[in-house]
Amino acid sequence: MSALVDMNGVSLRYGDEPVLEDVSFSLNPMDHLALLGPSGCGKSTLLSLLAGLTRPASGKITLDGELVSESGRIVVAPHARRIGMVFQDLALWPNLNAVENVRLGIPRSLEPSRKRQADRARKALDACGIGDLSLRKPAQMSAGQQQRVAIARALAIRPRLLLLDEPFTGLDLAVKSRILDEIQSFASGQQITLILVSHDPLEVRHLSRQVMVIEHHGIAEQGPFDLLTRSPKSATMRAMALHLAAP
Amino acid sequence: MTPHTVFHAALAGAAIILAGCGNPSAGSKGEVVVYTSVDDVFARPVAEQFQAETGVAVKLVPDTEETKSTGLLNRLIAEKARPVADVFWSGDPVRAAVLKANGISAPYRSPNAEGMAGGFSDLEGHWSALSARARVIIYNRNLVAEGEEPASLQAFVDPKWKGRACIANPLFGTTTMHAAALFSVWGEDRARAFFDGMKANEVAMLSSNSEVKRRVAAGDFAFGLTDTDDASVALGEGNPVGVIYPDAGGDGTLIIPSAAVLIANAPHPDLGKRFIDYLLTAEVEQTLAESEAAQMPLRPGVPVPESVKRVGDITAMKVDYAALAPLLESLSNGYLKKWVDQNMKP
Amino acid sequence: MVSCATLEQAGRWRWVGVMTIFACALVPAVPLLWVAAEGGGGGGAWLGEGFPGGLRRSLQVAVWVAGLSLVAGLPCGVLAGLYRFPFRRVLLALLVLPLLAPPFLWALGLSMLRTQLALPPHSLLGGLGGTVLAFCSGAVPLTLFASMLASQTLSRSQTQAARLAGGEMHLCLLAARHAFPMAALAATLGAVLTISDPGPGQIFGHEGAASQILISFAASYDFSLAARQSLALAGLALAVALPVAGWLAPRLSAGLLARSAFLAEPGASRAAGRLTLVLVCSVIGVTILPGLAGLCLPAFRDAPFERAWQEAARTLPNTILYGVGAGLLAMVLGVALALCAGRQPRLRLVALAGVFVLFSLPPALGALGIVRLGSEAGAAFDPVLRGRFPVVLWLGLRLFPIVSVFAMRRLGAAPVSWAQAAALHGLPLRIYFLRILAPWLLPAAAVGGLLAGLLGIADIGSMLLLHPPGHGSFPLAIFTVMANAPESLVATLCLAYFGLSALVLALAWALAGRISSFPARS
Repeated sequence: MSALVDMNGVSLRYGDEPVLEDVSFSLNPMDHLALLGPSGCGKSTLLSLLAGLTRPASGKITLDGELVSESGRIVVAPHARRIGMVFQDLALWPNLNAVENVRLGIPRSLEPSRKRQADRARKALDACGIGDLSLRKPAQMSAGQQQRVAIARALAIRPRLLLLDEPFTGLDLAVKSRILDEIQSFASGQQITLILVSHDPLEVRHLSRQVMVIEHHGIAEQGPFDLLTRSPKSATMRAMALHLAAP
Repeated sequence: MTPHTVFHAALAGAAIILAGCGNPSAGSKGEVVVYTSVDDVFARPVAEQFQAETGVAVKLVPDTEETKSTGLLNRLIAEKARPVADVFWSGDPVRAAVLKANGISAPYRSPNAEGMAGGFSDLEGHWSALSARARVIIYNRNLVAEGEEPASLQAFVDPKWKGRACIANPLFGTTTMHAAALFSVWGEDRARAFFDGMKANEVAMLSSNSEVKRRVAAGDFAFGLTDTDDASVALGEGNPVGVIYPDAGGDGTLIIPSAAVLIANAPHPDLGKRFIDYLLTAEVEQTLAESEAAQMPLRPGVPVPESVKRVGDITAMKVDYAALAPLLESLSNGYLKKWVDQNMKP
Repeated sequence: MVSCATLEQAGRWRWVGVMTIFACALVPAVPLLWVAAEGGGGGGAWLGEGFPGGLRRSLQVAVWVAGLSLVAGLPCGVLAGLYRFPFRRVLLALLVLPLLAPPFLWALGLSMLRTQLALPPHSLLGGLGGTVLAFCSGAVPLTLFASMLASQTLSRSQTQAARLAGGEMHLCLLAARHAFPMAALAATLGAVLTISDPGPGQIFGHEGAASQILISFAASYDFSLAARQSLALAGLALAVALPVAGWLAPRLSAGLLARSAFLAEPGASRAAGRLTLVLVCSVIGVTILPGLAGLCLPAFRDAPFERAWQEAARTLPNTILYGVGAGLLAMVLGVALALCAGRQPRLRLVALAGVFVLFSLPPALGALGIVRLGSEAGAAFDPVLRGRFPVVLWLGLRLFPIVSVFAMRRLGAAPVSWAQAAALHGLPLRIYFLRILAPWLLPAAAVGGLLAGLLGIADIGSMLLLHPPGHGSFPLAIFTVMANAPESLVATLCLAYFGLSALVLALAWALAGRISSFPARS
């Protein structure tokens, strides 16, 4: 099976500060990968590179064999990559209600008619359990409801790759569990490849099979979560293992 | 109302504004554009009367006091290549002379100029003089005892009145013209001595003639130098002021005639001439004499109120008006500018 | 398709945009600047002998005005933004009034009040004091509104966190710190405006550099000297403004997280509300009421309302046209400049410095330039260079910096992720702008546009030079009638002008209240 995501020798700097150095990894279709690492290590930047929102300084990124980014250049525009993303701050547009937030996220190339866009948007909201709040604006919703809208927007375009950047921050356990289950069943049912950025072992365990740790601007270790927690090499995994082992 | 609606409303508003900005159309019998430095309260009734009598629309563009904006004359100079104005009705002949010097005026000898007092109009016909003002001393009756009224400009340098007199900025308006006239009549040495004397006598320099009027009427100063129309308005408002035509027994009082100028290459030259003809009629001079402007007609025999003097009743300063413009220019860039700068607060 | 992510990325288009906008604003001044370049030094000093003294006096006034505006405007504006207080709308509307009138008129009002109160000429209402007070009547409200707007961009979570940390006092201090860059910017703008306005200095005998330029224009008719002096003034403004702009530019972009872009409602603390009321009334009492009283009191002796109504009827439609047109154009240009500058530090610095330089140029420079261009360009260009359009055009070009400052701050607070999400979902840039960004910018752009429109109407110098015959504005009519009109007529005209303007503002405010405010409030 050829890789869906192939990142090869990618580096990025902000001014003089290195963010990522010579990062290479690949992801097969329907893989669920969790990105772990300390704050500021470049996890969100890596997602941004995959989404085409940031240009790599060097290296290549291919999606399903197609070159999408290379040194200093975005070859395929973000909207043409069929990637859905739930941003860390959700990026909901505050003056639009839920259905409009999702509808505007459906490009014409996917659904040419406005009516069909709206139908698709409502279906996505229903699937996320928030169909009855479709006319509310984000400020009129709780944090959990906003997150569901953001997820609905990402899933409405039926992406081949779903990027989740710490989307569950601030949710209580019950709500988080519910949403995690829903995403898990979606991803499996729709055959979506998934990359999750998280600090929470519960989220990591629930959603991902593979884990990749970013430390010191590069990949410190990667592999199945359980294996890495049993023999952690990186500081992140050691901390995670300790957390899991605590009574 | 949604942002979408706001946006469309803004677009509609912009369209209405653009439509509203379209150039306005002329009246049915044509229009004449008159720029004027004569005070709006006096000029507008005359313009309206012309419009009522002739059916020709008068687009009047009045000026502000010179110290309040860059002024209409700059607009006329900048419009020289393709004027908008047909006529410039000036409150003094100096501005008319500036236009002539810049090639902005066209000669026109109105048939109605026949019979006007001589010596005030341009010899080459670039301006026609009409209703005049005079430079007068306005004094506060509560601060100046009877019998001690300042009858001469020399009062401004009399130590008895130190710090109690005022004039308007001599770089602007009729005060500039008065300064130029003094330099012309007295000669440079005597005029400089007078201005230096005023500085030594702490004569206050105010922003305008109307401010002189206001501050003297309010009692901030005992007396000041201003124009007859300002003085007339102060009297009309019931202020405790008196008016003196200075130096009646000496060099005389400066007479400042208004001037009607035809603009060269005007868009409506015939209507412009018609308006100038109208200005030079006895009726207009009578209107201006009877208004608070209290302007003195140059045409003999025009009825005037008792409070308004006739030009012939005043000892007029003997001035060559045509020679004042170049003198004024050199003074404004030279001695007077220095004098004003030195009078500014540190 | 142009990606929405372009709005968050560097690009050559930004520099081209910024330079183009500033070039458009400077084009009208080119004819006279050309004259300056061609003209020789003339007799005497290159800038005129009185100019250095005038500059010194101008700087004195500018520093005082900036300082007082900040001291009075910042706390008042912050409190007015954070708290409800009695008669809020009426008092805020009163604060707008000074912006309607040229500072000259305000100075005249103060001078007349001094006379009516029989105060000595060298009291606080005279000389430097009177000049500063007259300018503060406009600069303090400008700073106050800027501070108010800035404090209203604090998110709900930020205000709640501040209250939890240290109560209302802590919130006020946080809000003041948050609003300080905008307040400083507005105070600096207000100070720069004083440099190009000769009015109050003329009235109170504290003539500045602008008076020297007026003399060059209106007494000497020396365009070359006036243009050189204007350039010198612009150079000084740039020298003073650059460090201020350098300090302020990075502080204009403090982007909220999208989760935080839900703003707080004004609070209902009674004590704070009362304090706000007292402070706002004090500002009005010191900076606005004296001038207003001086101008309008004579109307109560003998008010020729009929004559005043005639002037109003003759000029009000044009006044509204000029004000609304200038405000709309200023909004378009101001938002465009803010979008081009974006979050790029160097561009924001250039934009701010350019804004200060534009404001320091005397309005007559550009207005006369347009008149000259109109004369030399030929009749085919009359729709653009003659008539009412050039009035709107020039006022919009002159005053768009106000909108750009408000818009830059507002744009800087927009979350970066909005544009990224739009780019990822292939949202066309046009739709993103119309549906998401424009509504976000609208409150700031609208307030900026309103202020620009009001200041434009008050610019009688430009109006006198550009208005087509028979289509002047109400303030211009006041100034042309003023000479030798009875005090009661001038007072009645002023009263009518302020009254009608207040009515128009009230209607606009009511209309604005119906527009769904953005972001949504709970």
